[in-house]
Amino acid sequence: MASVLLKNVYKEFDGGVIAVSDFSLSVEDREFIILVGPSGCGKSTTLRMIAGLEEITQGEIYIDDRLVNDVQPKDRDIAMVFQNYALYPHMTVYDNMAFGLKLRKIPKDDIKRRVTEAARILEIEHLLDRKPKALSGGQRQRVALGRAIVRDPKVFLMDEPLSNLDAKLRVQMRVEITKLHQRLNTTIIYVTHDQTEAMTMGTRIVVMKDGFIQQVDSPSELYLHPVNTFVAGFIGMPPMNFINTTIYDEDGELKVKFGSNVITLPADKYDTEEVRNYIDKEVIMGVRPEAISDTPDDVAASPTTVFDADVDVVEMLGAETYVYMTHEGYSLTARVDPMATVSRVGEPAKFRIDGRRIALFDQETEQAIIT
Amino acid sequence: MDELTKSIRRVGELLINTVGVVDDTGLVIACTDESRLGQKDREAVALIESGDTFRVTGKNTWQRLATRPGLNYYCFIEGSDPVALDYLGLLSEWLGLAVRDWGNESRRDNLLRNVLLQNELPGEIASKARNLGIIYTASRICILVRLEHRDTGGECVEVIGNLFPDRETDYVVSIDDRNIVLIHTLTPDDSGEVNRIAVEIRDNLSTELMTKVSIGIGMPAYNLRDCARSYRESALALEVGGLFSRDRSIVYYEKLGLGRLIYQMSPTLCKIFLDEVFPNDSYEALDRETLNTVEVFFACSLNGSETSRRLFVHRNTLVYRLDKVQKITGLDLRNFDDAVLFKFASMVKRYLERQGGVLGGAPNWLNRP
Ligand SMILES: Nc1ncnc2c1ncn2[C@@H]1O[C@H](COP(=O)(O)OP(=O)(O)OP(=O)(O)O)[C@@H](O)[C@H]1O
Ligand SMILES: [Mg+2]
Repeated sequence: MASVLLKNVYKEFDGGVIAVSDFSLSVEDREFIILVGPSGCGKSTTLRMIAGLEEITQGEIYIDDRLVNDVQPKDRDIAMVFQNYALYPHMTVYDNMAFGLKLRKIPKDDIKRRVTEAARILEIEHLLDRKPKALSGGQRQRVALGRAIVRDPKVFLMDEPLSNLDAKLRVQMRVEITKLHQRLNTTIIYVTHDQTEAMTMGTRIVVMKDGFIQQVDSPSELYLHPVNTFVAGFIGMPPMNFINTTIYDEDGELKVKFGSNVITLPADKYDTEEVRNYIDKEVIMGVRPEAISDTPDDVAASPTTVFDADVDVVEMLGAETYVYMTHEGYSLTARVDPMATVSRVGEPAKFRIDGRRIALFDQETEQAIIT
Repeated sequence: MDELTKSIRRVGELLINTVGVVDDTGLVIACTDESRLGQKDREAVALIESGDTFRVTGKNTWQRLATRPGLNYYCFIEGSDPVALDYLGLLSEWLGLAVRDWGNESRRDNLLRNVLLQNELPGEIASKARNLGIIYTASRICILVRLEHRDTGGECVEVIGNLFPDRETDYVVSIDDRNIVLIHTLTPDDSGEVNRIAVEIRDNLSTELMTKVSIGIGMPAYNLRDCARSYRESALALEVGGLFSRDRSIVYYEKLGLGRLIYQMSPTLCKIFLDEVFPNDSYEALDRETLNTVEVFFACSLNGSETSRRLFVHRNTLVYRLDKVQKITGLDLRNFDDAVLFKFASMVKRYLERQGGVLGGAPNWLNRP
């Protein structure tokens, strides 16, 4: 159990690649925090710097208020779990978990106590005598976690531990790891490039891009109030629709246009000084796919946010349906109720945007104006 | 892990009494109490001198191991009660077998190390290998693991040995306290195998020992003698990769790219080339920010909008920085030929600068061709 604090941390590799820039983050004791971002954004590098496996170029890292910049990795009291866990093939599950402790010359009784306890937490007590070959993928993954748990570290660092598993197992293990966090009652920093994984597991998520932190927030805040187009586009599946447009004032009403479609921005939410500053300037309008509806009732209910488009593809996914449409070169996706949708492939249709759920971004800086 | 250590660990799990083995100089070579490893045992020395096969000393009972004639190894157990004596009888048989194997293992280790370091007469390798049960003709590859800190060498060998425990296909040879080689027999038709192994080794050492390593990978060898070449390649990969490649943790000899060429250039040629491309040391006049911009610009395949997005700068800022590079060095990086020249020259520069430091880390026999 420990807090982790990073203060203005930079990592520059030889050759000038700056993998992490001005990274500041305070992870609370017992928190489960997730670092997410596209490949190459510096997630692993950040984790490895916390572990001490990578030197930091600039900045400070504290674990439990102790400056660890110059502390050896093995003395930081940290355990890492990677995606490429390999178990020792000829050892039993028990020995697999015990091996690292034996290397550390931990007394036998102590090893036994720790392995038994970890096996209990992971619910693999009945497997202790088995060899890895006789385990399922999920069980092996648990043994791999067990090897970290027996170390009884202050902080767990997990680098995409589930990405080698098949989709079904991954979903199951997400739940397991969340439960594990509750049982271990300890600090976990978890890295993934999969936004769904981040959204379902995290209470606080750090979104990174090109080595910079973009936003640190709860899943719902990230989803509803992204700070820029990157976060808005990265979080959520299918991704948010982005439309380049210009805000204009027509008889006191704020409007945006794409093609021949005109959308009126509801005055109560959007008629603010910040938005008015952007009149006649280029902005990006962001609309979540589920904020677009095609049911006649919805369309009739809010005529000021209705637009026309041609339906290209209707994709039935069971619980929901995706409608892919185009209008004069603009492409949009809607997520609609399969029971209520009236969209037919190849036909023009009317769609309605939920007027409360339009996000506007500065086209130059890509920062949010209003969400 | 060798057979003897394995057996002793097993004994430690089964018995509470301390049990150990000493060699013919009285050195503890295996013991359930690992803190005693490597110590000279005074009782043992006295016993060996006497030539007795059995003796009860203060706390322990001793018995000569049933091994080869001429090998005076002893095993001891804590206690002298009848049960302990019964155990001792069994142990001396069992551990005797392990010691015999242990001898074989260390001879095998020596042979392999000598093969890799080319200290073995080529004509003798095949027959020596046969005697030790090593197949001579097989497709193998050398994977060189270099530790950042030398203090975990022994443990690393153990971890790797246990990840690949099959002694028919995998040999772990420790070259010195920072360099460990895994000689792995290739499975036919498994192209991802080597990379998987390298990643597994790297990540497991991080997990178990929190140790950072870099890994060099040679080309396949088709017989044991040829493994020396595969090993040299793996070492060269680490050396050259350490200078030029992006992700240095795993480097392939077959993927050294431009680094392979630069590495062959003499320092004089490097200097002449640099003077030509960057006259008056103009490269030195470029600040860090500009250099990073160039790096990203190259990484984005000279695509300006992509670069400014990646760097979070305005397009004009990028143009300004590229203009600056042109003013200082005379090279317009938006022009492909100039970009190539800059890229190559900056690699040469890095090579010259770091040659001393990094090459010093390689084993000293590895001289430049
Ligand atoms: N040893 C190294 N030397 C030079 N550059 C490196 C090194 N390791 C990583 N990088 C670079 O640093 C950047 C960040 O890498 P990092 O591995 O942290 O990304 P990541 O977010 O974990 O990506 P992924 O999702 O693919 O694992 C990348 O551009 C990468 O090429
Ligand atoms: Mg990564």
